[in-house]
Amino acid sequence: MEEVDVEPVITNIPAASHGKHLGFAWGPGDILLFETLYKASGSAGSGCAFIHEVRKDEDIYSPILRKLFNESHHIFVGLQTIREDLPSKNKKPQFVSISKNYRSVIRACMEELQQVAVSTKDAQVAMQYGNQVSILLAIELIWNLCEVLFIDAAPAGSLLLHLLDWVRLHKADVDEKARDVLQSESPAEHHDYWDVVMSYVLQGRLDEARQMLMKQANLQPAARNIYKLMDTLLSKMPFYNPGGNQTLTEFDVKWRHWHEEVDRCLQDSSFASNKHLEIICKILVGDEDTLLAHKDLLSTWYHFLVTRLLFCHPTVKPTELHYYAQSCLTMFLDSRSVPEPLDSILLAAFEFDIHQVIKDCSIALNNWWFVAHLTDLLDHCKLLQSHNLHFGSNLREFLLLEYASGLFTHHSLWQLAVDYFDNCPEFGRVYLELQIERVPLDTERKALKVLRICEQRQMSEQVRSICKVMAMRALRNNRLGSALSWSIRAKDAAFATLISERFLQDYCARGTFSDLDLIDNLGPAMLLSDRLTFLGKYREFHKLYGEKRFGEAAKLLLSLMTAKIAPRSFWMTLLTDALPLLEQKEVIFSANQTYELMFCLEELTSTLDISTPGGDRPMQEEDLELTKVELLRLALARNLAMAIVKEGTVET
Amino acid sequence: MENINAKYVSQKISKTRWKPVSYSSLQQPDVFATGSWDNENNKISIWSIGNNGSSGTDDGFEGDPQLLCEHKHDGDVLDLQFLDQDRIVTASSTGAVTIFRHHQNSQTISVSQQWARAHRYPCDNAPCTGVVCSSPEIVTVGEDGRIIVFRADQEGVNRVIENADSSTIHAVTFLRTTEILTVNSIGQLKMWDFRQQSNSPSQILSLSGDRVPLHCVDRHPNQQHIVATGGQDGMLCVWDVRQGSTPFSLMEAHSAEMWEVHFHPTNPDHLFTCSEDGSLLHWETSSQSEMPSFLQGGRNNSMMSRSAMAPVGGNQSLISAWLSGDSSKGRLETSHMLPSQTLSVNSLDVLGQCLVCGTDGEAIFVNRQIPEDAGVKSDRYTQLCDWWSVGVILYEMVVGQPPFLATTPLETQLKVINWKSTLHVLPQAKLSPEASDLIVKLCRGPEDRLGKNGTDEIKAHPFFGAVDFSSDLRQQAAPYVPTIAHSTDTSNFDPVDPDKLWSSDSDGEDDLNDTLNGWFRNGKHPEHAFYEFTFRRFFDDNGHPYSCPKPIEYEGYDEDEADGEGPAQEEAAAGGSATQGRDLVYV
Repeated sequence: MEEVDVEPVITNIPAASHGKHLGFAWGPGDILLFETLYKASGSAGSGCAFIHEVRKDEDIYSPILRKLFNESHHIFVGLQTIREDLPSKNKKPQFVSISKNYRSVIRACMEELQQVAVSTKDAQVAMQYGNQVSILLAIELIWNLCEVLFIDAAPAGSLLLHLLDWVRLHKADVDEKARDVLQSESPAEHHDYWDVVMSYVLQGRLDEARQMLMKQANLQPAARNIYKLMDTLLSKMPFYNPGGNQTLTEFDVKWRHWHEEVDRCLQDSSFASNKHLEIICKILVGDEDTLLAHKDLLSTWYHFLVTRLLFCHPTVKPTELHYYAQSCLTMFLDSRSVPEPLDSILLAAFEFDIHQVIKDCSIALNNWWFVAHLTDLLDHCKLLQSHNLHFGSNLREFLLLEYASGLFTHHSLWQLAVDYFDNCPEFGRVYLELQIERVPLDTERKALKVLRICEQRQMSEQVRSICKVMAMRALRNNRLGSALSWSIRAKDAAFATLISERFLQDYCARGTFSDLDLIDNLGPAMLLSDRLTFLGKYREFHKLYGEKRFGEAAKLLLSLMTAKIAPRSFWMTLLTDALPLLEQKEVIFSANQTYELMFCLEELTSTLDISTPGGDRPMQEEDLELTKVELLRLALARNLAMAIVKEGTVET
Repeated sequence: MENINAKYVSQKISKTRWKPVSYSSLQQPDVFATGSWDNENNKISIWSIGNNGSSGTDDGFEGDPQLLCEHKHDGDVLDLQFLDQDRIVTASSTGAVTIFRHHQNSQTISVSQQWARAHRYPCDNAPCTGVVCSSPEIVTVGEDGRIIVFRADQEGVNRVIENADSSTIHAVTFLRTTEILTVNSIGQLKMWDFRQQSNSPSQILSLSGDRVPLHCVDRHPNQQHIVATGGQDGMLCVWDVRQGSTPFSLMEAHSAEMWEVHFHPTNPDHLFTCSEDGSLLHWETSSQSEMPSFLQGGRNNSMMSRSAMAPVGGNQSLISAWLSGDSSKGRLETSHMLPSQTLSVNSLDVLGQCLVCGTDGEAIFVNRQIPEDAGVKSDRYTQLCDWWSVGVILYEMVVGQPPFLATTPLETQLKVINWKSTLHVLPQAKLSPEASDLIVKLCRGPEDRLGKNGTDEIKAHPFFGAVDFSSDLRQQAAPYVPTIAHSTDTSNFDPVDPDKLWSSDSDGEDDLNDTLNGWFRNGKHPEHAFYEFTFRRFFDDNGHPYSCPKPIEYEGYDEDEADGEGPAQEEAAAGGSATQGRDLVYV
């Protein structure tokens, strides 16, 4: 037993009060709770008639997040079809672009949630959506970092550029502030002016910082020189260009020169006359105290980390990251006590501990969507191979199964889950088999869709069960034709026999066949069961008889009995059907055929006598039966005589 | 492909339909309705794609469908059709048939009429699987095997065919105004004639043996005998309902159930299918028809329906490409319209240049670049074709035989095409100069056909000199009122022998072009010649009149055994234009 990572959350069940005993049943994504019949001695309160459903994942019911599930399903399916045999070098750009697709879906969803949260009048709804936005924000932040560190796996040099992009993307409030400042009458005197400039510098957006500074310089002609100096420093700061032909060492040398120059300016007190410029200069040399003094502009420790790297260690290697990350976290958070879950997740990412990232995310987030998709993508990048769980098959499959099971509990999203199960090689099929049978089938169209899923995967057991459910329903509604169609589709011989039996009963009761359009067009499906064959053939006899093709009709009728296709209980009806043929003026049954008919009749009467002793049936019915037999015997004898005469006559 | 945009809508879409646009305007559709299924709360929704230019360079966001309004729907929406511009009929899995009204001013939807549990089992609801409308008539089919006919604005049920099918009926379409076609789950097509009182189909067609369930059906917009169906195996079948009981051509289309098939309503060389396998296919036949312009386009059903004949005269190919049978030889092109295939495409609709489809992946796709017309847009079919028909009818009524009478439909077709040389007003007919003048002015090219500048120029023709159009024609006394002794009195009609109609003049090839003379020579009056020409079913039956004509509905009389065609004709002759509301479609 593994130790529990975090204390489980407590959910209060309204019905549960002291002394009540609750029973429960696990579902794939939820638990059903109910009050048991157990009565503690003394307490005689009436039981609660409700069953409570406790859902782990509420997000799945959000209409906007549904878009996320549907659109990402599409990306997921696309990812699974990337060919295994391609050299990994060619695949990397594909994986990065898939990762970006996922992120853009998250972004789109976030924007829509934000819009709704702002426009709604209901405070509670606004809060709910607001929470979802912040969760998605965190998800996207983590995903983006994972993309930089694991999927793209940027080397030293470009690593920092990616991290800068990452920070800029998630700290976009600078741009809003800048817009406010620039739109004001006098930007340089705006109270946020210096905040904006500092923010630009902290994010390494030096060109924008220079443009802002220009406005101030124009306002202070006296200080023009120091502004000019600052502008030169900013413009000269080297950035690594991964596409160029400059080596990392060359860049490093160049950067050191620039750094020394800035340091010199600081030592000279060149900016002593202007405290803002002096602060900027201190930032540029990477002075930790100055940086930490701007916590409010940095707002997060990881922004601090990236800024610090930018101005102190621009050629940081991926393997060194964790050291800086850890120290930045401690420096930044010294006033606060505990790091939040997001902090530890990001820290784990900087430490390249993928499993810790996934584990912490699974605990911190309320849905499986993120971990399942991220893990799947990382697994495709071959980053998770070494790790095996001591339960289930592997991490990827475990998370996908959890996510898909959650989807399957949803009224509508179950269809999405099928593709996820398909891509879980070990247990996916078992999960699907168990779940698919439990999809409620309201209409035939839905049944057909479920059937198609099963048939495509050769899940014959489930096909049979679904068809049987549909056939039973049709039968209950007295739709014999439909019922028969379903059992033919399932190739369910036993059920087809049952239904054929019903058809024959109906025929005996009413004297006509129902559902002729079906029975007349059975085709090869007729061979599914003996009884069905008989039904089809017997109907064929009626058709032939109706068309006055007596010869063929007679032959068919006889063969139904001699080939033992007809059930014994039906023989009397068949023999009675033979009566009018025997009574025709023309001889239809040959002598041999007549003998066979007689044999059938005798066989029938002999068994009848044994199996039904006299007292069982009312006299009248027995009399009727006897008369029928007598009549048949008479007709058979007469026919035999005629046949012998005819066959003995030489035709002239 | 770039023109197709996905919009995720948080509901599985079971049906999409364009709101109809008025025929005469060249407007493109911009509003469509969708229905959802398998949701806890299903909805019907109305969307607009805006009408901001249909240039192909749109970045894709401009035409993003915007939700106009939505309304809760009990049960899955299994089918959905526009009854008219603002009324929508839905078929529900609860068996209910509902008419919704879309209020354009307030952009709201309300239920305007509902038949709850229209489809049902004795102790359960039966899903209603399909609905088709021809305002005001609504026909629905269901899993209970019933066919029900409703009338919008009437509370009750107009007609029910119990046990119309022993298995589930999956779809229904109108073949003609009085005939429908249903497809069922054992692979049969059944034709039902509402003029008949009996509750059995007038014809059953099926794929031999296989019993593959059929899920959808669509009729060719011009050639009513051509029908396309799609089934469980994803095959596209094209049938000629006049000929044989098996499909004309079978084409492999999808790898799973085909949920819908639609001919392009104005350019039927194009056909669209969608399927459970997540694909949306565009089928295109390349037919190089060089028809005279007045033959082109939409509504002249009769004319187009004859084209199943072999092509004649070299370049004049009126043959329907769908029936030519050599689809395998590259005359038929198919292309996928969706970038990738994942979840089922449940429904599609195409109108003008726009196509919309909805999927189980909860996305709606709109494509605005569907080829609309085979020819140039200005070649569109106009109301002027009806005045041509009036000319033909007039000829028939005053001469006693149709103007382009021939022994086979093919020859009639040729004569129509070459009307300039084949249309004669024979002196034997002794027509008044006004009558022959009117015929000649109506039966000519659309450029200078009478009526081009409005109905008034026809009303002003000397032929109608005695008719007072200023007051209500229906209130005036008819110039001739036939005496009808009882409801089955047929004494006003000449006796008909359909067999003799054709046998008398099949002896010589030389006089085929002059049938009338041939008939007069035989000393026989060409009795009931209009019989074949006036009614569209002439064409639907390959030129052979029904051996047992069915009465048409005629006000004031019960449906009787008489040849119902006559009175309508005579009244039309007398009244000049009082032919509305009859089951007549003119050539």
